Amino acid sequence: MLRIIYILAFLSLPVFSFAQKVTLYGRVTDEDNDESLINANVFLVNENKGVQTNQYGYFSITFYSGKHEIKCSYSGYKPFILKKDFLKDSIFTIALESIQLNEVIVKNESIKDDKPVGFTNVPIQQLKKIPMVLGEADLLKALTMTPGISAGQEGSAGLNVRGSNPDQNLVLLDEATVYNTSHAFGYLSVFNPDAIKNIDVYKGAFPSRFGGRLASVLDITMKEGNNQASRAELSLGILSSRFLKEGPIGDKTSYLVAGRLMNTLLLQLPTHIKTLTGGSVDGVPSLWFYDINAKINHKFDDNSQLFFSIYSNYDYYKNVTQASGNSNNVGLNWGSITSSLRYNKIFSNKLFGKASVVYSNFKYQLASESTYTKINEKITNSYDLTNTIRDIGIKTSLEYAHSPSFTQRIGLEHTFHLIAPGQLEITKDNVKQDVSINQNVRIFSQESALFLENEIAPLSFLKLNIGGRVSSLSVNNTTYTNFEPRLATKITLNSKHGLKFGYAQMQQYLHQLTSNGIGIPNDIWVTATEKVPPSRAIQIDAGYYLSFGKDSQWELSVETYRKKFTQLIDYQQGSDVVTEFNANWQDIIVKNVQGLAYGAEFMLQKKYGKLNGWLSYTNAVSQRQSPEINKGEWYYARYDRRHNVAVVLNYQLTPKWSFTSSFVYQTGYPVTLPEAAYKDSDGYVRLYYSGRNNFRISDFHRLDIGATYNFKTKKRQRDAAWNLGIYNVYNRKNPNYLEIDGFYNSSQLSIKQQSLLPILPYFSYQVKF
Amino acid sequence: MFDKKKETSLLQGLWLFFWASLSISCDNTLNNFEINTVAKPLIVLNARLVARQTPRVYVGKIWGATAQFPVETFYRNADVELFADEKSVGKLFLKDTLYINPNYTIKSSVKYSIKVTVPNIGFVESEPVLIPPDGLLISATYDTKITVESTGNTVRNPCLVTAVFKKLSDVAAYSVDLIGYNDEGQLICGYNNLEIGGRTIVKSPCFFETETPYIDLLGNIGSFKFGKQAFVSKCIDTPEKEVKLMADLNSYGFTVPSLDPIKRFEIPNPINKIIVSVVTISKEELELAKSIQLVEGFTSALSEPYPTYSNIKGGLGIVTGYNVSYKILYIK
Repeated sequence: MLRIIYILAFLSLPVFSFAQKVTLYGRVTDEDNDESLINANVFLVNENKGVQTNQYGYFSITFYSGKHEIKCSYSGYKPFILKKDFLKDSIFTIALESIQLNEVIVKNESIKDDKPVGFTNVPIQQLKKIPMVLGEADLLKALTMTPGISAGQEGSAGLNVRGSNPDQNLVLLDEATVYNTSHAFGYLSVFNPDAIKNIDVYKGAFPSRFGGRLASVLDITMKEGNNQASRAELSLGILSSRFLKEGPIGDKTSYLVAGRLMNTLLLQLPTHIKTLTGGSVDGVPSLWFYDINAKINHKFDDNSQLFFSIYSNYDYYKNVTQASGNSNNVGLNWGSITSSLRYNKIFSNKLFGKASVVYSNFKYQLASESTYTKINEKITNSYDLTNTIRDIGIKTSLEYAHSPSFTQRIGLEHTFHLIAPGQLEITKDNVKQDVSINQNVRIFSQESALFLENEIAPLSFLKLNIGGRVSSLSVNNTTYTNFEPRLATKITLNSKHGLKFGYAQMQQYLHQLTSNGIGIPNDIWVTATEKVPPSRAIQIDAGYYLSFGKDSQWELSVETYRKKFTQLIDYQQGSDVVTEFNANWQDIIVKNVQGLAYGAEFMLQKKYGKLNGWLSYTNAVSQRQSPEINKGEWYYARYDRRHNVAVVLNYQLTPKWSFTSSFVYQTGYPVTLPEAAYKDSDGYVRLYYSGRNNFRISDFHRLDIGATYNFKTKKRQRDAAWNLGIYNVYNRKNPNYLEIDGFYNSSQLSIKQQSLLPILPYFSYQVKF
Repeated sequence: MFDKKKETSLLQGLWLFFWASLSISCDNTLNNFEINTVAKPLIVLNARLVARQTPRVYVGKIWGATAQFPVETFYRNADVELFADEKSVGKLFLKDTLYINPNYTIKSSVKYSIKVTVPNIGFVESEPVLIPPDGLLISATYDTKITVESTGNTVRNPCLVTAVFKKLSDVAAYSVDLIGYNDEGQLICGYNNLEIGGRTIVKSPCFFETETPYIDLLGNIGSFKFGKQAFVSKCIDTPEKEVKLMADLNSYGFTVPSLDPIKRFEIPNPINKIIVSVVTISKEELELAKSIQLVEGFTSALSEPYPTYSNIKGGLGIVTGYNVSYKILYIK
């Protein structure tokens, strides 16, 4: 521990000192709505130095006093230039003017590529254009078009980043952890694109301010609410609709409320009426979900701001079979609530601080109920399995900008977790059973972290982000402590070429136990305990970047990575928490799974122009090994995708008409299937499995196209748009899950590949008030 | 450049494409996922070696998981050799579908292994298996003067059978079984193990279901495939184990087991002979039973399949050894 403190102390030593200098500090905002802009460039033209705004739009740049030209730029906004004689420290809010909706995206002058290796930030406007299921813009699904990120399978929840499990992604919404990222079994992500301002994705070289997960960080920021003018948006689709309302409350406060609702009721309305009136129905599914975002932002003065945001999502699924007074219902519902209260303060020209209280709650419930009538008595048998995780935490950090070449961040976080891995209730013949049959009692744990991050540019061509994170988890009478060193470097070879390297160690204290079956995933969150140690990972990555073409509008990037996991957990073969409801989850898992993931990612991007977009290709391998699984031999992880190709093209035909298309190809995911059949000693036919994940389901590929027609409404001249498109243009039957028929000793086995989403046209109408 | 007329045409074209797509989207079928060939042929070796019985060995083929069953599932040209305590006791010869040696009987307290070569396919051998010693069942008594309070099933003519057997080393579990006969020699089943009762025994550490052979009136081994409840050795903490079984002398009768499906019928006369048998279950059999009771195949969409246990080096299947001890009770 003492050694760790020495290292942190060393890292915190200022490497330069400056004299007779002035500092310009403040925020960069959108002129239209006063939203702070994240990662905007503030550039000192004559000294060829610059800084980027932080997650809260704050910047601080120090330079010698005198006449200077300051240029501020941000993608999708007109550059701002300030020429002034700077004689003393000054606070300044730079309000950038956005490019009008129908303007072709113009080049972004003076933007220096300060992105670390493994970092992805695609502008929300660009992500929103990528066509998705039923025309619903989906930010997380759109991210799967970028290298190294893939969706598990069509209809599966979560993202797989560089061969990792979905639970290894830290998803933060306004700093609160979001445990569930999927609606409708994964067909749509839970984030309403209308309410989201920015998504930063770190796939490697994680800054030390982030921790607690092994694979990636998705740092999502909600819009703050327009404090200039009230406005509303309404979008109506076939199955889903959404709305947004934002505006000022007085001079210093603004708000935002956004919501989405989807209901499949209309699709099967006659059948649902029959169900409600007690008619005979066989396996009628119903699904609906909603999500709602709300945020209030109060600006006390130029130096301090208070934010309160709350977010809730909920999914409900039920499958009903009923006949002659008997019924059989299977239900699944899950939902999250997150909330954060944050206070931002500019303490001085160089010191920025923030403190947040965050709350997160996730609940998953699987229920089954069957009723029948026996001698005029209604008999009910049911079970109800619930998994909940509840966090309340405090996060504080300080950011000190010593100079344009040196910024330090230090922070402290403490989170209380309350986890109920698998609470079970059983009713047998109308009698509620003793729930002590299930031993998965609630677990209380505390996770803490102290981090230090140094952004240093010791040489004009070299930039470093070096730091460390000390994290710990206390659970029952056990405490795990860990030091996680982090390093990201960038070497600028010249204005066109650059090299990047990253190194990171991560520790994860919370896990998601994922069933390995071929059907519906049944995943529960659990914590490290005295029996189950936390998981660890070490990642090394490197990248090469090249800009070329007129105005450097083309960019080519190549990144490679190698990641080693230890102490992962998995179910024992043949086990899962539902079929073994009378066992404690800690007794039906394998704890010493190790993993290896490596790969190369390529991306060719045309950043602006009438025709823009990108081509990405990832070649990746992800494997796991445990002495207790697959006879100790390495096997491909469920998230192994050898080849991933994505093409995204946007074309602005006229100011009114724009077109977009996307194509994605992925190698099929590994699945455990029988290789052969044979007769056993009793003459029964049995199946032979040569190993875990020994087969691959068919490859996945799909082409989507979309068109948008923007116009003004005739009477009130409101901005409106028609969105029209086709999902899965060539009607590819992509695999969703496998269905088994036959095979009970005498009949031939048949494996059917179920595809759920055929070619699907969509349209929606959007109007802004 | 892009006038109103062109714009209208474009819009009409898009709508047409939209509706055409909608009509196609209604047609969605399943695709077959076919595994019709095997990457490498494997030999299946199955044998249940029972003390005092002739060895009967199955040498089988494998075929693609989704392929049609082959006409013959066994190899005709296998070279099968039986070893007792690592010494060869001779080759076995194909009769019908099994390899046998009618001149040899399996001996208790001996370790057996089998080696098989199939030309152009390969070689497999079983791990050695021990045939447990004799004299397992110590006593078996019955009592018909009892009243049944509740056994879960309707018992018309109760008969409580008490069996005591020895706990042996190297035996993983014991299956205690009753087979009843009436004057007509009809085989009649129906009993309730009072210790296990109707308890769910899947994944129980102390009990499991097995498909051990049954013993007929002549002491021959039958292959009646009824799940029988077995006691796991590690849960027996005394040198002897007493088991109580409730039989119904007026139980239903069943057709001859070899006829499939088995049919139940009312018997004209009650049971007057009961064979009480105890069958040893080896650790291999226990592992096999456990693996089968786990999710083998696709009974659960939630869990990954569990591989079926095998003790065949280089192949599939199981070779296991039994000893059977029984007593006949004549009911008065």
